[in-house]
Amino acid sequence: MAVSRRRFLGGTAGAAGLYLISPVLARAGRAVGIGVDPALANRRRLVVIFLGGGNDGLNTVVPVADVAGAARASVYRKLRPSLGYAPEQTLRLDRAADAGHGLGLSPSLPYLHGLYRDGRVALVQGVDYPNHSYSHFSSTEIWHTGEPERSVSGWVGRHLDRAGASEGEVRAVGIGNGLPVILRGDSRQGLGIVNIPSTKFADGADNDVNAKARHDALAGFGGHPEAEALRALHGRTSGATVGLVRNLAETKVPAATGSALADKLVTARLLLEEDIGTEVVYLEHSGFDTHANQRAQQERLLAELDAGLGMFWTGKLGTKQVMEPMSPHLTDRTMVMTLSEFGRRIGENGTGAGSGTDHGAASPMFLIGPPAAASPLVGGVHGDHPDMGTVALPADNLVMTTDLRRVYESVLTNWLHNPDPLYSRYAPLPGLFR
Amino acid sequence: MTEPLSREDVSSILGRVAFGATDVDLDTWTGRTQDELVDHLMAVPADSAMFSAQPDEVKRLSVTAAATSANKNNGRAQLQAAQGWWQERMRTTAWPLLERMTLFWHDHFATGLGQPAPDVAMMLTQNQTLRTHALGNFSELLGAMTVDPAMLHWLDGARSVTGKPNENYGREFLELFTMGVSPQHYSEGDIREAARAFTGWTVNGQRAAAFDARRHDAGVKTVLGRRITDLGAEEYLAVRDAALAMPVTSRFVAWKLVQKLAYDPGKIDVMADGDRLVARVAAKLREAWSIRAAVDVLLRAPEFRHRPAQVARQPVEQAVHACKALGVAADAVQVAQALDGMGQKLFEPPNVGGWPVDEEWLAPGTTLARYRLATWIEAEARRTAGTIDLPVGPRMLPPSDDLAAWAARFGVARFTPNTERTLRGYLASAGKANEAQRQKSVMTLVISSPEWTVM
Repeated sequence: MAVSRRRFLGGTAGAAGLYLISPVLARAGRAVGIGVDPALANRRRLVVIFLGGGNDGLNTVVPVADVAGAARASVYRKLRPSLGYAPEQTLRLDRAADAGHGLGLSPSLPYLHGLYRDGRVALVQGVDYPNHSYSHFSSTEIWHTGEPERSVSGWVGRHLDRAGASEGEVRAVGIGNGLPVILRGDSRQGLGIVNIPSTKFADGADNDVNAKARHDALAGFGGHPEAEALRALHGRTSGATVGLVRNLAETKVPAATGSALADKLVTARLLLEEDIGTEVVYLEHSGFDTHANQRAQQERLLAELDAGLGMFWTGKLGTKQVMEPMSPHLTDRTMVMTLSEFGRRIGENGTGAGSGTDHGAASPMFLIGPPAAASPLVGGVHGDHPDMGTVALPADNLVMTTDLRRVYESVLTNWLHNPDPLYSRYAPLPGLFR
Repeated sequence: MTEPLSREDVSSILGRVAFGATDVDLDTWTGRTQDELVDHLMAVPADSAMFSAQPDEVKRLSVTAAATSANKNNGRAQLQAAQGWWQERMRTTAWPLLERMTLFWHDHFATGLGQPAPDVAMMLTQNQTLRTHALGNFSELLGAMTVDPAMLHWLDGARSVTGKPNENYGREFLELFTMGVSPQHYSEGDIREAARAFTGWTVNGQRAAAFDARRHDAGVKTVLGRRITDLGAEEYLAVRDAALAMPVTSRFVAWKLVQKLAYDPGKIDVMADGDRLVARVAAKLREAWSIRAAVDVLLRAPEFRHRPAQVARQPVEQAVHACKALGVAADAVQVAQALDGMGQKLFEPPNVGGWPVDEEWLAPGTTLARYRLATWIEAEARRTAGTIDLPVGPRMLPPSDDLAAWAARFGVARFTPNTERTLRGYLASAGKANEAQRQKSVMTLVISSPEWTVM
């Protein structure tokens, strides 16, 4: 008899069921290829990386050549005398279909560039929403809810609301303190953990009989919901916490890597590999609010992102093998997408190496899918580049060319197979998925 | 209000503005009036010299700029010392409302350590400035924060120069510190013009704010309709006064006071809509920008009395309350570590927006860190039993099955039926656990209970 890795909370299952689900497969079963619930094992996975602070899109995807009717590279060089990259410093987006765009990637993104050349990276240009907010907080909330015009719950949380979850299932996890808006639905929400090693009880594991009794009692707070919403959520979180600790008790975690982002991506990998139904992992990579010292700061952060992405798929961080390479099964079912609350202005705000850029508007998004042959995601450059004006009369800011709701609707419809009724007026982006 | 306070009222009020009630507090204030309790809380000396022993304390922490910048690890140790120092001050102070308001302003003007600056010494200097003005004058506080050395580094004011103004501080000054996100009240143009007026301020070699006229943009600016010209080092005050003249500013600050100290008034247009308490606090604040007077209105309001589950307390409030309940010092490294796990490190807010509210705190990571804190405090209380400085002398933990005594010890009026059932269920199933184990379990569960976090 296969023993399920997922343990249940007995009498408290009803309340914990918010997060939990249908019995799935045992790790033992999975190892020998039998008994795995195909619906869960074959589920598509999504990792959302939020580049917190407002990543400068123009130094991430650099205009390197003027193209017909648009002197983007010339404007870029004029407005960024200190911060700008020369064309030859960038990694050209030179697949045949993209040559006409005149773009190059930041030199800090060599691994991503390799994936691009392999046809795995879709770059959507100029993504934003109408009536852009330059506030970190308002704009972050809009990227999390996916709805600029009214106050709604998180777009992944709404996916959870519609998708449901059976008992024991941990369908979405946020890595970090607390629970991000993006994972908060109206009736369901993801779970927030800092990392797997800290997802333990300080008083020991369940094999201490006294500790186990305490943990059972803690789970009990979820079994008797309080009348007030905040207290009820507190109770449900207690129940879910106990379930999660028990489910992850045997997970082997590599030593810390020295990169906070790589550590989060290790956690993401491990969660996606567990048979607890994890489908979406959200994590943040912050520090992009480069009002000053932008060049050094952004290069460091992008290099960390690039190395982290390499580790996510190959298991290697630099030259160090941190974990096994991702299995082909998971590779074929996993997509990573990057978001940021906004890009930055075209012109720099100072002179010399210390200069930076202030809050801007539209910026590019990356979606990174499975190997091209098996992938529904279409690699390459999508959407239009925002207008940058002319050398004589340069624009100050980048105005959106693609509404973020269309990108979310594409991902929900074509990747997670769960379109959002809120986006019924927004067509998926043509050609982003095949 | 003359209607006597219920035990729930006392628990809830002190839970939200005084780092939690003790059992003595519950007994003392139940049956007395809200005005009497507020009089007691507000009895903070007006003269900040009475509570600003800080330079000596900083010296004792051996926090110096040179030591901080010389060695990163040393900087971490200094940060933990500084965090512990403030946590312990919150636990032991005779004026908990003053510390609670200092924390409120640390959250409002959220400034954090950044490499290479600001450093721990600057953060402590800012902390003292916040405390000095915590129940003082908002206009003075706003001015002081604008040229505060840590703030000048944190939001890049120190590197903003004429011709190339850096918008970072100008934007947050309007959006976070005075007017909120209100595009109908100020424009991107106002942000840019404010940034120009703020140019020229830097931090000198002694880590003090200094005005350098050569870096200042001497041209004419128009901020919020007010023309500013040729005021040099005074221009930041002109921008401040322009912001204070906007009716939305008092409403926004009042809204935040209500949200953090009383209950969540909801995401509202603070001008158009109507939370009546916000309106009353704003009106008082606007009279003379007295924070003391505004907080006084808030604390005496009937709406401020207990309603179930008004606000999720911040982790540091919970940690200090737990330490206070058991007479355990709050400056241990374990407390700081647990707070890190719960997502709140003093002097290191997640960003300039400050810390989250309510449901954003509720997650397994937070639950487990709170549990870790409870486990440590219980062990620490046992280790130091008989030597600790509880308000009425050393006491032992209550018997495991005396739930009323546990509730009182942790400043809860009475457990909800659900929590009572959970605790009784545990005791009934605890089997061979000895009394110490049972006490440990009950205490851990009380600290983990919904009503202890959400007051």
